[in-house]
Amino acid sequence: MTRASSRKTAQPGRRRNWPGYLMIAPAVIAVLALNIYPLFRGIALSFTHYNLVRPNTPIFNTFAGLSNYTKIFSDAKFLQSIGNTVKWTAVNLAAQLVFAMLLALVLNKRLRGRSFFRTMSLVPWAVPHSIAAMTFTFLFNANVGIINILAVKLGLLSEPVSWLGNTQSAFWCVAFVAIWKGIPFQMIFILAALQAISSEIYESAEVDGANQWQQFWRITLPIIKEPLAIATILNLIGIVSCFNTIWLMTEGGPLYSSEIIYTYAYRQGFIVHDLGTASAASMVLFVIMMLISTVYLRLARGDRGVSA
Amino acid sequence: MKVKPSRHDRASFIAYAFAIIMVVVALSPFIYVVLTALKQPEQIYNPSEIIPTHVTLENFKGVLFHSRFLRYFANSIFITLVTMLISMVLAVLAAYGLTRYRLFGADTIKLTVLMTRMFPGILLCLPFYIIMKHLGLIDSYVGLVAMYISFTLPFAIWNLCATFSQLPWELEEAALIDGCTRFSAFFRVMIHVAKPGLMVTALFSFMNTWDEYMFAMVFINTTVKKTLQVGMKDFIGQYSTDWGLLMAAVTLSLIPVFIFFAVVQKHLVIGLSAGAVKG
Repeated sequence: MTRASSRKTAQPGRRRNWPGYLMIAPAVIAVLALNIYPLFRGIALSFTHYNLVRPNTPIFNTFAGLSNYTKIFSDAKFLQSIGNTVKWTAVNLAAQLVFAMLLALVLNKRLRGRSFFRTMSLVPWAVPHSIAAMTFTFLFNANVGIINILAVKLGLLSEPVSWLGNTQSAFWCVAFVAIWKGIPFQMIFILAALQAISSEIYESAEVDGANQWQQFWRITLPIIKEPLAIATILNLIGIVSCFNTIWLMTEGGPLYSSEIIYTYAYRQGFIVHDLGTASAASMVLFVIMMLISTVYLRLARGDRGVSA
Repeated sequence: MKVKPSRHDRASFIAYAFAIIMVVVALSPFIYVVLTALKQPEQIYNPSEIIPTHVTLENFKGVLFHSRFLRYFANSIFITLVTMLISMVLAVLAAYGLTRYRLFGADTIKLTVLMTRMFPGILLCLPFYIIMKHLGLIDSYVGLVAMYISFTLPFAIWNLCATFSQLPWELEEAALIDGCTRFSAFFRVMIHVAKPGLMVTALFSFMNTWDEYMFAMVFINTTVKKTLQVGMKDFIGQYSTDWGLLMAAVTLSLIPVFIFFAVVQKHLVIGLSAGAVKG
């Protein structure tokens, strides 16, 4: 709605444009130097032999063709990490979306103490990832963790379980923490969209005899569809690159059961010290992200153009 | 209002119950963290009693006076504030230029900025390692802050463009007519209207930098230069961990985040919705 007025005030001839270029120059230079150049350097790196363990071999820092890519795609650990990434993303996204939606719907009602509930439910988002990971590592601990203590006390377990040291449970425990931490971010965006809906629509729907279930599917969801999709895709990018939680809780283990592409690329780069294959793996992740972000752009632009 | 009270009562009961459960799930880990931090070691390792019976501040004293916690804390505050300041200044200028002038290539710039938000951190971390090595900026805060700006700046530009494009610029026009310069019109008048968007953008820069772990772990080697998130690992031993100390450190490390969050959170929904809904 303010578009019309901003267009009107930005009349060409009346204003000199050079201060505008001067204003954007520092940021443009920073983005070029800190995002665009490293991106191309990274693309080049994925086609280069760059194993830091053997810097004196003649092939070091020479063109490698596709060999970094063939190397990772013949690595069972990488293939496993792709599968884990898909599982990780699906589980996280589904759980975060459902809980965030329910929470946003509840916090949009006229509850007593609503602002208290709102602030408090945002706490997991405010907590740094690494702190959350350390906290839950403590809670899941086999000897001193409250989860084992309570489970044993209540008779759910006969003896304490090493939740993070077990290939059956480690993935799910880490996913639980990521979900716990991810719900508020998704919720804020949904809540912002919900608050833009006028209550009159619901009142007239009530008069027409629509129940809450029908109101949600017929009125609420269609209206918030676009912001919901955008928030979901933004959240998805956070989920796919959720390094801290995984690395601090399990380091991708045990037996790579919680390894995703991101942690695989980190391991190749800074533990195995082969920056070439690490870059190749991060490129695979990047291509997936770009496919996702194309969808994001479509939705964000809608029919209004990028300049909106 | 009172057509079907029973149905509404049940609905609001479910709503309250759900809200309370979510808040309990959100908060209980930290309540337990604080309780643990207040316990004596024997009680932590024999944890059948959840509530500490002999409250002690030894863990907090240990963290504050017998560890490098305060040093790491100061490092993190310094890096976070510098990163936030630089990216806010650059982003305010850029967003003002992009929304208030008709610039050649403005759409390309906005599109590029949007795309950089999709870069996974590891994608840039690997080439940065080589670049920083060439520039001699490994183990240096200059290098670290530069890398942090690579992810705080695009978000800040994007969110501020969305914020600025929704402002009532007639106010600025009026101030200009009253004899203000562009600069003073912005800083005297517009900054107040743009406050929610500015606060939330600053909050995100703060949180993303304070939260960062991977870059700090890869690029900072000197012990006394470590950031808080990485330095916390000091409290985790290879074979055994002093959980009381670690939990006291966790408690203390959350203080600045919660203070900043408390100041800004009331602007959160408004300040973010501009960027999300307008896209």
